[in-house]
Amino acid sequence: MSLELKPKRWPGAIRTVTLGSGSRRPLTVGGGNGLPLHTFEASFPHRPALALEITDVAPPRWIDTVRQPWNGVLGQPAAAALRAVDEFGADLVMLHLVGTHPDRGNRSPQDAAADVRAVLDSVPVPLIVKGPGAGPKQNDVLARVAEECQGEGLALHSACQEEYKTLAAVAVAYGHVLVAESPIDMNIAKQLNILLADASVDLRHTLIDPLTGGLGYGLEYTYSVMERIRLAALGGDAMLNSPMICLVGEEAWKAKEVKVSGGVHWELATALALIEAGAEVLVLRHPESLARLHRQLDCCFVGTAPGGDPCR
Amino acid sequence: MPLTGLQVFKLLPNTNCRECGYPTCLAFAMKLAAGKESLAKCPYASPEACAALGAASAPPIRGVTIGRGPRAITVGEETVFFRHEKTFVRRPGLFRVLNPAPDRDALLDSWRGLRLERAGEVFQVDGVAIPESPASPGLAAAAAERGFPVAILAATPDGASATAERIKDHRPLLVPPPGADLGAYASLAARLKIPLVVSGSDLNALATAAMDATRAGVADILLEPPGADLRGFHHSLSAIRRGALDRIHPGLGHPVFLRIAAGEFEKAVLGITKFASLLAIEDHCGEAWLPLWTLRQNIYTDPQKPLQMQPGVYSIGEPNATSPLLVTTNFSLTYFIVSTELEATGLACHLAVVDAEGLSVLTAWSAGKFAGDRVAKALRTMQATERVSHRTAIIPGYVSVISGELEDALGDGWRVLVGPQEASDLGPFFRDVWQPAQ
Amino acid sequence: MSPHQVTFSPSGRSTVVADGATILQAAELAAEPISAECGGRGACGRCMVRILGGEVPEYRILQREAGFPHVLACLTPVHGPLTVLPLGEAQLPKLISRDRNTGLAPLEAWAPWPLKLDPIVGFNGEEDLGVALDIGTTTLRLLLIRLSDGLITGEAGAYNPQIPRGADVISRIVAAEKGLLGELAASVRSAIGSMIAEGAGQADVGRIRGYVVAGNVTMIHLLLAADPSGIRRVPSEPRALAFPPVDASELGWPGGDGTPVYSVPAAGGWVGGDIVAGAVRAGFSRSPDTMSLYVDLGTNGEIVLGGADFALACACSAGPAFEGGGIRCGMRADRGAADGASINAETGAVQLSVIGGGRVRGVCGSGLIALTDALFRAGWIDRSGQFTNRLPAGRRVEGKWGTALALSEDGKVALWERDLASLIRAKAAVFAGIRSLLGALGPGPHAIERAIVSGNFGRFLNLPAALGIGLLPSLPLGRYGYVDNGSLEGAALGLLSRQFFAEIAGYLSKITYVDLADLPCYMDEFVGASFLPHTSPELLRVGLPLYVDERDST
Repeated sequence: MSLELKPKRWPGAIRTVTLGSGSRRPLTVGGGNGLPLHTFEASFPHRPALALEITDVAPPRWIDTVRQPWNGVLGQPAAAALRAVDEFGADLVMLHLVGTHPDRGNRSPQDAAADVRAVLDSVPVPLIVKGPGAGPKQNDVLARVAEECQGEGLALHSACQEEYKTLAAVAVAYGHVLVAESPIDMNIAKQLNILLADASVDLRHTLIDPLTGGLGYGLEYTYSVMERIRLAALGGDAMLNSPMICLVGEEAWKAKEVKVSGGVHWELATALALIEAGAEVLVLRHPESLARLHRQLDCCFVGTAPGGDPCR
Repeated sequence: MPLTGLQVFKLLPNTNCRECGYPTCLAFAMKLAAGKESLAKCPYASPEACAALGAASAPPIRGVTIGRGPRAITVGEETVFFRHEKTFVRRPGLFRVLNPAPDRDALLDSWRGLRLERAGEVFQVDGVAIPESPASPGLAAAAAERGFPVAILAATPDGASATAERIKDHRPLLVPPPGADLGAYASLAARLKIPLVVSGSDLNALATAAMDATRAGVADILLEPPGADLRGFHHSLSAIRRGALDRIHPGLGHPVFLRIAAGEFEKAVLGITKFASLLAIEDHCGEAWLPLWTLRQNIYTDPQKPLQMQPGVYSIGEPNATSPLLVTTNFSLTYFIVSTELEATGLACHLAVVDAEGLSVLTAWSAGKFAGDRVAKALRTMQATERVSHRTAIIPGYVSVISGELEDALGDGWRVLVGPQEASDLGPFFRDVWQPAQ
Repeated sequence: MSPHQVTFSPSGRSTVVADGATILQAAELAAEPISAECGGRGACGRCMVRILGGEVPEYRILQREAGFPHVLACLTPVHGPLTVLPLGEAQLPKLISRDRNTGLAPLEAWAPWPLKLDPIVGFNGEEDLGVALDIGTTTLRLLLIRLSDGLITGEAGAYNPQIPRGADVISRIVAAEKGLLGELAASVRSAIGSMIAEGAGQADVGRIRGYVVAGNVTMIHLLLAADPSGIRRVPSEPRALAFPPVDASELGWPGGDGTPVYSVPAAGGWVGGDIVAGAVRAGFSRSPDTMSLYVDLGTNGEIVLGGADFALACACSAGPAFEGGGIRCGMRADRGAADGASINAETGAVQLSVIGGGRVRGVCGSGLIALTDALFRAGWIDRSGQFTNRLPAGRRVEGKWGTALALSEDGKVALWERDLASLIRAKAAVFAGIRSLLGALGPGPHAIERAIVSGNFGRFLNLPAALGIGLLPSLPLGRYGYVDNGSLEGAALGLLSRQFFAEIAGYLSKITYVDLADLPCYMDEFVGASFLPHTSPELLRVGLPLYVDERDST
């Protein structure tokens, strides 16, 4: 008896979304027509992209292990972005506007826009901009950033079901990508995309953030909701087939367990598990996690690592 | 394909006699269809029913037990490709590779004593994997004596035989070297009645090897998937699971074994998420274990049964009698999120975790499991009320409605302060509400 | 501590309470009606009152208007003399009644198979009467029927007077556990007594020979003053599923000596006699090899799926929205209630059909469904029930609860966004319940051949609107039937036909109760259905599997 494994064919596929335009080097994600990493039976024109997180002000809650590689550039977005891309090899960068939060500095929308402009001037890669959290301040900040950096194809993080109208309008008006965030719920993710589409947002310029639970702190919920979203997308649901983005660094480094050591493994395990569940953009904090993931992705999507070294 | 509740119902007598313990035949049928009951409970089931149900329910992946005694581990018996379809059932065993070392007894003792508790589960060293060397029979015996299940990472048939014979009563797992001719190993395993790992250069060879081993008399088999890198392993792991579930080849219906060398952390992550049942891990820096155990805990949690914390008062930092007292449910995720945010505030406090059957705050309240009287009773039972000299309890913002009834139930001049809805607002809450009130 | 005087304005009712008693307790003692839907737990906000005179603790003051503090009556203790004004929401609606079944012969109009007139109670005279009663959690309905010819001679309806003790069954059980069982029993018996008098009109209530009462398990327990606390235990343990008949005089109801009150037996703690009566009335017990659906659009939202061989039943806790409860402009289906609506998006015209014609006083269940559908079709609300900027300015009302659609000229009758949210939640619960029951049978497709919808709506249910908002599955319209009140009709048939009553008892054992809390898919279905018409509209066509099974995709 010999083995006949039929390749699985799906009626749907993941949309392709291009991050970065204008003065950016564009980066396209998505487009796969099979389950994540199933290169043996499906085609994946683009591989998952890896981003590093930088902040507008020195981040008070980052622990030593993760601060160390960023010594000298914490809270200096332009310099940090340069290090992220040139030294650490990030495909793109996420600027987290921590300082605009009313309790953490209350920086103004103008300050935020200036920081974003500084990063754009410093590196050619696409930029994700994360605000201080849903609400009027975030709307003001991201609207200002969107306007001043129009045409650059920024990914604005994020719109949610309760607060999406302002960001939808500015994303459309100024040519940016909108990240649609939902609380680990497939129905709400779909509902938000439907509402966005009703508000004239082209879903080809959106990403889904299903809300990441870090390893040990809800990972399995995110993992399963992502697998289910992926299956719906491959089944032909056009309201759920945007590429998914996971803010891994922020969640993984919160764990009690990594205070002393083991942080890179913690972040790596979270990220790799979520790649298997369908993440197409991952935002990390430690460059070593990024380097190791890059090697694995090179292997999974190209066959051999750069230089021909056998992969682990 | 398993039968549906309705299909099973049509095979039953529909007399609602209740002898199975269920009020109606349909209720029993739904349990049978979910695999939660046995047809044996129905005294009136027809032979046709028995045949139909029997055929549909043989597990696609066999179970295999390694080791003996309290630490014996059983793996396999999985039924789904995605955990959300139902659940993964048997946690994979994470065995630790033991190389020859002068302090091997002390090492084994420390491994045996290793216990880490997390969300109601105890992490331990599940078993020991011993690479073949002249010392291996002695090492294997030392491990087996301490109750560990043992995997013998053989290099030669003679070496394998020496070690296996030594601990044959402890049901060790025999792992031939990758790519070896299985003949001698299969005979050894069949003779000693111990489980065997088979391998092959591709899926076809693997399935054939499994069939050959079965024919040679080996009852319990694990499959070592072919692959040279993450891409290759992902392919073979996925293909084996799919092939087993779709019953494409009987040689695929066995649990999976993976070797993890030092530095191959990513392969271990892949193995745990993608269906490996036993991993033999070489970890020099020791940092891989906690993330791997936690990953296994996460992936193998039944999606329908939330992890629960033990109810009680947990200390955040070093609280004293003037520290705040907060109350929450015993859903482990809630606990982790709240405790992490509390730690980040830097303010020491008491966190009273109340038994709400593992439900989150809002769900527990809707189900009536986080009502004032219940919470008050729990706080008194765990003596949370004695820990603080002030008489204020802080409840989650989402259940502000119970503040009145909780105050009534606690009595004694207790006040209830309504905390924030989001755990991330605890910092500002302490700063703006708690501190000024002190 | 000396007691304090609490006076209510403008009624002038007053009482004296001990120090520390709540304002709500004072209201109860003074017989001042103040709504407390959550049973006085501070959850619903309906008992808000204005303090016109006297002092209340600062931390209980929610807001001030014109200098007067507003507090929740249920949480605010009395520490001194007070003058209290209950605010609009706190006031209870009055008893109202309708006149539409009189003259009907249930055995002709409602019997699912030919039934002979063979009343369950003996009678002598031509004018002897029987009473069929439906005790709902929110609404009471009563029919007086002449036993000699089976014609309805009178009817009455009212809100259940237990509502201040709790809008839902659990709150009332909790109230009973706190010692209010006697009061709950007395209030509902008394209300029914009034309804009997009202329904009888000029007729002699002494002619009543017997009663058949249908209600959910809790309502029957409370009526008979049986301890209901076991009902909410897991597993549910009611005192009894079938109570022996009691004498009408024990309940304070009219009828000569030996006038029995029968209660329709229940199939389980959460599947009451009302549902079984409705399902048998809908023909379930006589439909072999057919899959039928019965949906009771009442507070508990019971759903039955099956036929003669088996039935699955669940309760999806829809809430009182379908009966106008919990909705600011909600009311029962009575004179002045809008029960239909159409909107011309181009002209901005809103046309309401109002029961009895004339000025619109409120919206009943079917009106709410019709309005929601019309608003959605016109694009005036989005899929999550929020008003869009297409809502004409002239119809837009802004207030402390957000935005509303003005229904009356003066804007006083208006539909708020939060009312739409309540309706969407209610319809999501029902649809999710239906999908969950189908899912409990295993992957489909399961063809539903007949669907009967029962509700205290009024004259009709706007079926296209109900399908349009995703309340009910998209079966071909011809498969749907509407019953004004399946429980009441079943009770009437049980009164007039011994065979029918026996059939109900015989069907009980076929029903399997499914607790939706035990079905992991239910919450997922609920969130999915909380969208107009559904997050995934293809699921409105019943019979599709719940999850995309990846093995189905090749």
